[in-house]
Amino acid sequence: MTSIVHIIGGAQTDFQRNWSKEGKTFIAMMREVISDALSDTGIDFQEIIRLNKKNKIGIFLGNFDGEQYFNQGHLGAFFTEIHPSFFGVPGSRFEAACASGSVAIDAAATKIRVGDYDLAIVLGIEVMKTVSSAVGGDFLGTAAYYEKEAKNISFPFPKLFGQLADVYLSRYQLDENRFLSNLAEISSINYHNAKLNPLAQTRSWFMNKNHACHRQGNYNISVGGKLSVTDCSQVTDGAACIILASPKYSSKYLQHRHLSKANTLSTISGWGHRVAPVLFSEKISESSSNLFVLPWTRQAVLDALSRAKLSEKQIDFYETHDCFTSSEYAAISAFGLTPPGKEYEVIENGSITISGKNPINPSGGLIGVGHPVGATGVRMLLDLHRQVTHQAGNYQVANSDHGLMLNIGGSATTNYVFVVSRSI
Amino acid sequence: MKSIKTVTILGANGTMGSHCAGIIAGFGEAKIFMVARTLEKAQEGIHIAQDSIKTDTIAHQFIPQTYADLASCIPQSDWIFELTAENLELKKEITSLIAKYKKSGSIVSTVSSGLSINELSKCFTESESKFYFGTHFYNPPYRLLLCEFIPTNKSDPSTQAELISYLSNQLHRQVVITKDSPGFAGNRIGFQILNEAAQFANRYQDLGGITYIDELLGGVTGHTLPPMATSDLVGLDVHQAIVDNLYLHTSDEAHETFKMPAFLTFLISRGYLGNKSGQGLYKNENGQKYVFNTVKLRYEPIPVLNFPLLTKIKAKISVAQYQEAFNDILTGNTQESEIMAYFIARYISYSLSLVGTVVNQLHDIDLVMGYGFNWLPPSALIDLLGGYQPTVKLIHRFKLPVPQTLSSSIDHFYKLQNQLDYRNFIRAI
Repeated sequence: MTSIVHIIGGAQTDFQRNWSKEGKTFIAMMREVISDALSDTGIDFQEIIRLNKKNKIGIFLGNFDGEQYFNQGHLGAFFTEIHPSFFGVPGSRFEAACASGSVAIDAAATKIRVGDYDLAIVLGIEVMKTVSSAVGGDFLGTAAYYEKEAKNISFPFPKLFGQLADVYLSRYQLDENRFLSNLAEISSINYHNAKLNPLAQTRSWFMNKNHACHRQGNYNISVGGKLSVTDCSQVTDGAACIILASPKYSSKYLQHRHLSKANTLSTISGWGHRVAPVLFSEKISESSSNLFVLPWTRQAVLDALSRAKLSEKQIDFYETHDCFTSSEYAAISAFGLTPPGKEYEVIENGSITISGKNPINPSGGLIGVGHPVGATGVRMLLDLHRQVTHQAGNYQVANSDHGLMLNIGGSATTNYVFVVSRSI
Repeated sequence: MKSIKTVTILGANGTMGSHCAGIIAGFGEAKIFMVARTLEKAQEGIHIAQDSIKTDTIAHQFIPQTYADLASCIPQSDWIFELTAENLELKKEITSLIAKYKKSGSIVSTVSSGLSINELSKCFTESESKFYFGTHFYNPPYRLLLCEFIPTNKSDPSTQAELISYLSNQLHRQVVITKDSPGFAGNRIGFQILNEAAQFANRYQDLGGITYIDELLGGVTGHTLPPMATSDLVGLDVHQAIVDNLYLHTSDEAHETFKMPAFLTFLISRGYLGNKSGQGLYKNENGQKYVFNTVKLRYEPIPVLNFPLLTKIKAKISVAQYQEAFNDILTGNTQESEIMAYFIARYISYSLSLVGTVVNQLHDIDLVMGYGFNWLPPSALIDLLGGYQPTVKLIHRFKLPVPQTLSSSIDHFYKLQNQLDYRNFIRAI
C-alpha cells in the first residue's frame, strides 16, 4: 500500500468545438481524447492489454447527465467501443453534478493509493450542445434540489449564484458598485488568461473590463440577480483525460523512456471532499453565524492542505470553479488568500492575475476555458499537472511547485479540492 | 511605427469595412474615422461594427465621416485602412487621395481579394510607398482569424515587423506573409476548388448537379461549408471577380479550372448573386428550398440523393474514425468516391505547389486554409491518407502534378495540431 499517486499526463479537447455541428457523438469525443492522452503519455494499447491481464488498470469516467443530453447512460462501459484492448478493463461512471470529474479522480486515486491498480485512466466528459440553452438550463437544474429550486424556473443556476452575490453584499456590507466591479475584474482576468490557452472556448472572443461592467447592455444581459452574461461560464462541449500511476509504475515508466521526473510527473499530494446542505437557503442559514458564507468549501481546502502537509502560503497558484464570478469571489477567502469579506483586496491589487503573487485560473477557468460539466474537474487537474511540470505553454505561471484546485457541484454543495505538487 | 491609436476606415459601410472596424475598435481600442459615401451609411457601418463583436461599449470610439472629410481625418490617422470595392481603378483613385492627405510615416493598407499591391503602391511617393501593405482580412473577421500580409517591393522591413506584431498580438490575427500574386494564397487555392466544383456541378447535372457536388464535397472532405453554398455566401459576383482575375493572370496547370462556368454568368446577369440578393445557386421560397439546374437554367426543388457509401463514411466520422473514413473514399470504387478522391488530390497538389512561390512554408498553407476558409489543412489530409506514399499514389491516379514540397523525408506533415485541431473540420453532416 502506498500513499502517493502520480499523474503522468493527459489531454483535453478543444472546448471551442461544437460536436453536434460536426455531426459527432460522445463516442467520437471519447475516442479523440483517449487517443490524445495515450499519445501524450506514450502508453499504447499493448500496454493496456498487458496491465489488464494482471487486473492492474481501471477506468474512471466522470459525467453529469449523459442520459438527458445524449440519451445514454452506463458510460463507464464505453471504452470498449473505442478499442478492443479495453475489453475486460474495469470501468465505472461517477456523478456529482459539476464535480463529477473530481469524484472520478478521487475513486481512481484511491485505487492507486491502496495498490489495487498500477494505472488509472480518468476521463471527464459532457456533450451539452445537443439541446437549446433553455432546455440545458433545465437539465442543469437537477444539480440543485430540482423540485424546490429549479422546477419551472428558467436558468436556475445563474439565479442561485446571483443569490450568493446578494448574500456577500449583505453579510459583509460591501459597496455594491465596488463589488460588481470586482466581479467584472474576475471575468476580465479569466477571459484574458483564456486568450493564452489554445484549447479555451473563448480564446478568440472580445472581452474587456469595460464590457464586463456594462451589465444590462444589449450584449451583456442580466441572467440572475445582479449577474450578467459576462459573469457566467458558457455552455460547452468537451472532455479531458488524465492518466494516474502508482510510484512503482511511474518509476519504471521514467526509466524506460529516459524522462526527467520533474518535467514529467506530478503528485496528487492532498485532497478534500465535503458536502454542504443541498438547498442554497439551508447553506446560508447554516453559515449565518460563521465567518465564511461557504464553510464546507473552506473545510475542503483545509482538509486538502492538511493531507498535503502544506500551509496556505505554500500554494503557488489555483484553478477554481468560476462557474460564475460570485463563486470565484467566494473561493478567494476559502483558499485563505484573504479573510472572508476582504476578497476585494487581492482582486484590486492584481495578486490573482497570471503574473500576480497568487494566480487564479491561469488557464482561463470555467468562464474562459469553458465548462463541460462532467469534464471540468479532470480539466482542472490536468491544468495543475501541466503547470507543475512546466508544460502549460503560454499560460505557464512563474512559480508552480504546488497548485490547488476547487471543483464544486451544485450551489457549492459538493466541494472537491486537490493539491498537485511537483515531483522531485 | 508608433502605436496605432487613430485609424481611418474607407469603405466603412461595407461588410469588410464595418466588421474590421469592430475588430480594430474592440481589440485594438483605437479611435476610428468611419468613412462612407454618406453620414447615414457611415452610421450603418458603426452599428454593424458593434454588432460584429457583440458589444455596445465601443460606440464612442467611432466618428462617422464622408469622403469630403478625408483632408481632415487622414492626416490625424496612424493607420489608413482602405476596404473599398474590388476595382483596381477605383482603388487607385482612392489610394491617390490617401497619398495626398496622409502624414509622413503613417501606415496605409488595403483589403483586396487579389489585386496587385505593388501596382497600388505606385500611388505614393517613393518615400511613402514603403509604408503601404496589403492586409487581407477574411469575412467575417471575428470568426475567420486569417490575415494575409502582402508586402510590396518597397516595404520598410521594420514597419512591416511592427505592423505584423500589432495585427497578431493586438488584433489576434493569424498573420501569413504572402507574395503579391493573383488571389494571394487563400483565394487562389480556395477558388480553384470552388470554381472547379462549379464546373463539376455542371458536368454532373444529370446526377444532381449543385446538390450532388455539395453533398460530396461538404464536411466529409473537410469543407465545413460545402463549396456551392460557400460561393452563395461570398457572392457570385465576388466569385467571378476572383476567378476572372486568376484566369487572366495565372498560367499554371490548373488554368482551365479558373474558367467561369456559363451558368454562373447567367445567374449574375439576372442579379441572382447569392445570399446577399436572396437567391443564387440556392433559394428559399414559401418555406421550400430550391437549387439551380445548371443545364436547364431554372430553379428546381432540391433533389433527395442517397449514397450508401457516403452514409457509411459519415457513420465513421461520427465516431471519429477518420482514417477509416478516408480509406473508404480512396477505395470506394463509385462515381461519388472518385469525385471526392479527385478533389482531395487536387487540393493537396495545387495548394502545396504554391509553397516557395506564394508562401514560404508548408504550414503557411495550413494556416491560410484553416483560419481563412475553415477547411481541413492540406498537411492534415496528407497524414490522414497515410503520408507521402499513399498521397503521391493518389495524385498520380488523377495525373496531377506532385508538388516538390511533398517530400518522402517528412513523417508527419501537419505541425499545427496544438493550435488548430484538424478534426474539427471533418464533419458528418
